[in-house]
Amino acid sequence: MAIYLDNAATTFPKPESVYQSVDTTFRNLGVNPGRGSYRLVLDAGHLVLEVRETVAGFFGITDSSRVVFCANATEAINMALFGILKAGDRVITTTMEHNAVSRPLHALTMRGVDVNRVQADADGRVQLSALRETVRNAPGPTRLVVLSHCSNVTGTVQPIEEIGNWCRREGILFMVDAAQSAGVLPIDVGAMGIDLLAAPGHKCLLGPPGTAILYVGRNLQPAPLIWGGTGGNSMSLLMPEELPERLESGTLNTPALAGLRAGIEFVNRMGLPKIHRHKMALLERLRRGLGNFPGIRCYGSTCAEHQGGVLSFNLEGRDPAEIGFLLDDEYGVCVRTGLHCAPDAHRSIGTLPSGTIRVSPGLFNTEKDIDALLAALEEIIGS
Amino acid sequence: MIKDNQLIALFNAPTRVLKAERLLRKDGFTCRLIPAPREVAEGCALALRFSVSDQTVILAELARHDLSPRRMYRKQDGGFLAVPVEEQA
Repeated sequence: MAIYLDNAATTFPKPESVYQSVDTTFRNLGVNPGRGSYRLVLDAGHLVLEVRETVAGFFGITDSSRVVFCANATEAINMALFGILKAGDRVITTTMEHNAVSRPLHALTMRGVDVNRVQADADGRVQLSALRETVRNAPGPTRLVVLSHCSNVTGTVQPIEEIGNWCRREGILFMVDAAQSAGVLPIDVGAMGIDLLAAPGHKCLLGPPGTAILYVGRNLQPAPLIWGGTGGNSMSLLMPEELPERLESGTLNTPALAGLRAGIEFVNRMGLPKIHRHKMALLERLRRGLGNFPGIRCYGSTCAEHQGGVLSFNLEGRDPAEIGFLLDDEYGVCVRTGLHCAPDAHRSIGTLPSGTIRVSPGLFNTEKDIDALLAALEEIIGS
Repeated sequence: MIKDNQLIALFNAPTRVLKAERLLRKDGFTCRLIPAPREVAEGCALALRFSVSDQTVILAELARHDLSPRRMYRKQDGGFLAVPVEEQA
């Protein structure tokens, strides 16, 4: 049995209740919510509404209709950026972003959107003072600040509450990519001044692939990214004004959404502090073990408060891709190597072009898994 | 599907009509989601059906939760009579 330590890519395995919810829903309620008016469809519609409300409650969202379901966080981010930004708008982002943010922003520069990047420090952390300076030095007003809550490369946690509340005072929209933090760190859109929040369902919220959410703040009305059927007002060729329908064309993945609800309920039962402590304890064990090896360089903060569920490191003189291959091929240990779709972040911490070895434990990993990884690394280094 | 002296309320989004139905059922009101008749709605839409006798309390409850319907009709003499929503809420 392989030891899976790539939970930053997607969590695996899921809690048993997630598998059961998907299966039960698929078998018993495999109809199309919002399409038709017979009882099964209405039951499916109510189920989707309950999932929406579970998500809303989890992120402190008062109106669940502002929760839009998407296929993945990348789609959610694209929906927000392309739906909100227009030619002439200025966006401030950071040098720590995943391509899910960097690529749509780059595409938007071709449409006349100005993008400025705030430089992260050596640990990958973005200071509010640096962000403020970038905003103030910009030649015009800033429409949006967008950044990831937790880096998928270094695990560095950004001070989003501080940044969000500053943005709110300045009248700047604030968007958070919570791909690595939703389900690990507390997120409250009201308290943190968040106007747009993108989060995958399949990572630390423990849901199935094919689930994600976009929260859209009360005063925002993004243009749709996809046009199509929404189950109502079918005579109109226009998309509805109301959320979530405006941004949810086509059939929803009801079984997967039921699984997402089960995942969030699992997270709620366990509690975010316990989840964070579990991951930090495993990563600390790894960091301590790595410290005994020669030529190891770890990246990111050593302070648990500033760290999510990811640790990146390198072995001096060795290609991360080779280490990853050997770990998998000879020891059955799954870790991620390379750039993790975030070249900007690697540029910031000086690990281009070969990237890092990234370890991201999940809820079901144990100290034994970390010890097995360390033992494998010891043999690889020794050889 | 709709009897005389029953009301149907139309909302501006499927999610809102589902929310409204769930709220009212939780509060113990008798109501039901039905397909909106073609006389009052073009294309596919759901309508919330309830008794005229509950009109005032139901509209007040929906308004309290920011879920007021967009339009409302009363079945009368085989036809549908528009009922102003805001005056009632």
